[in-house]
Amino acid sequence: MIELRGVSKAFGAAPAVVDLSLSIGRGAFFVLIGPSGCGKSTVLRMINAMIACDRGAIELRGEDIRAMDPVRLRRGIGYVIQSVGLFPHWTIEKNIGAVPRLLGWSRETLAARVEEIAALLQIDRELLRRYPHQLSGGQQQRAGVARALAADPDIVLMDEPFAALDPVSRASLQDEMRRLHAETGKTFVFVTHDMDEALRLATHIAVMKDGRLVQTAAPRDLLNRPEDEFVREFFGREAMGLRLLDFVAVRDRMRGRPRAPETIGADASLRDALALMIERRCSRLSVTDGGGGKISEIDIADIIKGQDAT
Amino acid sequence: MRPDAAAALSAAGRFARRPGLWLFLLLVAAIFLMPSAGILFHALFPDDRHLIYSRATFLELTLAHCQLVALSSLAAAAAGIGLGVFATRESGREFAPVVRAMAAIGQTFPPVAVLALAIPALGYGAPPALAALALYAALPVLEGSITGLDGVPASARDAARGIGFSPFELLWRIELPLAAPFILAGLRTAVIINIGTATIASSAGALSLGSPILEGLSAANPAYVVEGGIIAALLAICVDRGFDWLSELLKQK
Repeated sequence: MIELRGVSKAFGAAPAVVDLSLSIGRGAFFVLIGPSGCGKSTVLRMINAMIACDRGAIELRGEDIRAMDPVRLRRGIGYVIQSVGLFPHWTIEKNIGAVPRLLGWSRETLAARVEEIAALLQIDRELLRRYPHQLSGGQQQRAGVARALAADPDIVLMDEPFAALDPVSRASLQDEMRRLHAETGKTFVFVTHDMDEALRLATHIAVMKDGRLVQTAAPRDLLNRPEDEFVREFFGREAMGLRLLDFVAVRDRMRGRPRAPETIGADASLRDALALMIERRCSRLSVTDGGGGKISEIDIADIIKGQDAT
Repeated sequence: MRPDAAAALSAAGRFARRPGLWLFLLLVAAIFLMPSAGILFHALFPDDRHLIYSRATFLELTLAHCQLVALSSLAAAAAGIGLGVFATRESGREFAPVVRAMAAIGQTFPPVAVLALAIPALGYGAPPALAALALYAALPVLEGSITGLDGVPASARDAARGIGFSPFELLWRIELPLAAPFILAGLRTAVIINIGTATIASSAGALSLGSPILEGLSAANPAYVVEGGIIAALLAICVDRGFDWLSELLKQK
């Protein structure tokens, strides 16, 4: 879907991106992560031609972006930024409909689409008539995402979209992104410096440092086999083991007959199971299925063993 | 108090709170009733001479005056907004200080000096007056345009570009509407200054409300000065109220 081949970009004498090659498949939730100044936002802005690369080539859907009209190119790509950038003199409704209006959609199609996309992002209908400054930060970014998706682009670029939000709004918008990605099958390219966010959302994570790519892998592989000290450090060394527990369900480790009094659902993660054991001061939990019946048991030793093999 | 009396009183109150209407009526009255105010002027300036300016009617003078102001302000608006847009573009940003300096120099020239310099080039009459007024009025519009366009949030500009606004669409749909209150404020200053300054246009031979003032000054006839001055002042106040109303309208939109 998106191919970067040997892309370099320097601002003055300072290199921002150095000989970077990336292949982002259709339907991926691709997260670019790295410390600030590592060039991840520059990569994102090169994909929609906001920044031209000095060397190398970028292809979208098999077409070199230099051959395309940048304005038309961007209308086919959703774009969300941390500062949201809603137009202060337009209502939320008009903001969401900005791109379809540029594309010349009819009034009826436009109204129906705004309604649909607002429902998809759970934006209250009464909010549509308000102006951006009358909304909370979380509501504003919901509208920002809605605006990016309004013309139904198959690629969506997001530049640290939730970094400025409070934890509750951030978590709820992250859930929304997971659901949207699963439902629509669009290709997401998402820039963040928050590793928990990356692990939560990504199907693929690319770790960048000083304008170069350090490692590209699925979240779980990244935790299991970090390429070098930098990646290990970035993913929080001590906490890496705990983060890995997020990716394994209790169902995969349970065994034997249920005897323990405390229970946990089979679809909970090992991290949840461990947390519950610590809270209840026990080393075994009975595992329940969807109906609530006890089906098996999990021991603290089952959680710990075999981490290397996963 | 009876209810209908109270209602009438509050309606009268609302009317009284709209001074623009009063002032406009006063202006119209001044234009048309000035010739009948001979007794008043004779009482004020005991003199046997003719005390009502009569080379042109006050309506003619006012219309000529308005035409001078309108044309010069229009030219100033076009130049000011155009230069303001240019100076806030990526490609023109380095010229911004030069543009500002040029406009500032334009305003430090006394309008009379510009008029004197323009007469040899443009001849007597309205053209040199228009040139002087336009030059003088361009600065406030330019300042308003640059302030307004610079005030557009960078995030809105970035987002607009990123979702596919062309440079023209960005300017027309986002930047200019957001800058409009500042541009309007600059235009308001420019027009009000021009209404006052246009009185000196008569020294270049153009017809304006300055004609009775200049003649009154040279013939030591203060009645003429007062006549031209009153109407010019009322005109400025009325136009100012008009701009007030316009900017309110813009705010509601």
